[in-house]
Amino acid sequence: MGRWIAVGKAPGWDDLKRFSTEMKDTSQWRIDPKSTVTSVYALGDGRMIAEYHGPAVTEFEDWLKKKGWSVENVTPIKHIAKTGEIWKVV
Amino acid sequence: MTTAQELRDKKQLYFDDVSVGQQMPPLVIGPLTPTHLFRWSAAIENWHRIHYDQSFAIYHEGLPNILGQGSWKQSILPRYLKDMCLPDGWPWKVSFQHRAMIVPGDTITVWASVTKKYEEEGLGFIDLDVGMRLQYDTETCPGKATIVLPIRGGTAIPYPFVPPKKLVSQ
Repeated sequence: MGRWIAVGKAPGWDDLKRFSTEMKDTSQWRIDPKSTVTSVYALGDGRMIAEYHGPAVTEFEDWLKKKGWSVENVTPIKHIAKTGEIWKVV
Repeated sequence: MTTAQELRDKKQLYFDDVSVGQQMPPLVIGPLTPTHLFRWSAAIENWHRIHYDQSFAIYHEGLPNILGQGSWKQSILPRYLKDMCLPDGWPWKVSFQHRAMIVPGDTITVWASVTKKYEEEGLGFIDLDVGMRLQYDTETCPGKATIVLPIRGGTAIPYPFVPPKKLVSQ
């Protein structure tokens, strides 16, 4: 399994109601038994960041396309710091 | 979720009322939350971090999220069969495989279908195919079970249940 992060813009997702509609239901982020959009961040400047866990980046790209994101880039995650815990991802 | 009172008031399912091919009423649980998983970990003192520490589960173990415990799944199928048999029947045996992960957000449908029914020593035996399906129809726990149901006007099922010798060797 791999992990990728996407940066882009999603029109209207800065509205919390729309954001919730797009992301709250399990079917919106658990694509299939092997593919999960683990986090989505809505940034103050209108951009969005989404983190994906799954077997192939193509599934993530399909999800982004289906959601209507204007994607700047999709790239593998190397390592992560979360409140002092360091995780080497790749 | 079935309440204790509903179980106390439950009408007995009789052997006579079950037919081969019948789909038994399913039990739907979910969407699961981290609280469900943590509660089970606390109850059985299973402190493996994959069950409650999301960062550890995702970034160290390479999992999609924290995982539902296998022992939790092992508790759900017997509970489903027990509720099906109450008040006077008996869930004799169940076996199943763990084939897919369960994570928060998942909704589980516990199901059973009747494959065979037969009488032995005055008791009604029902063989079942059983399982727990996820929301996208992935089967996580395919298995088989046998329950014992009373026959109308027949022998009471002994408590504790002792299976007929003829069936034990099978």
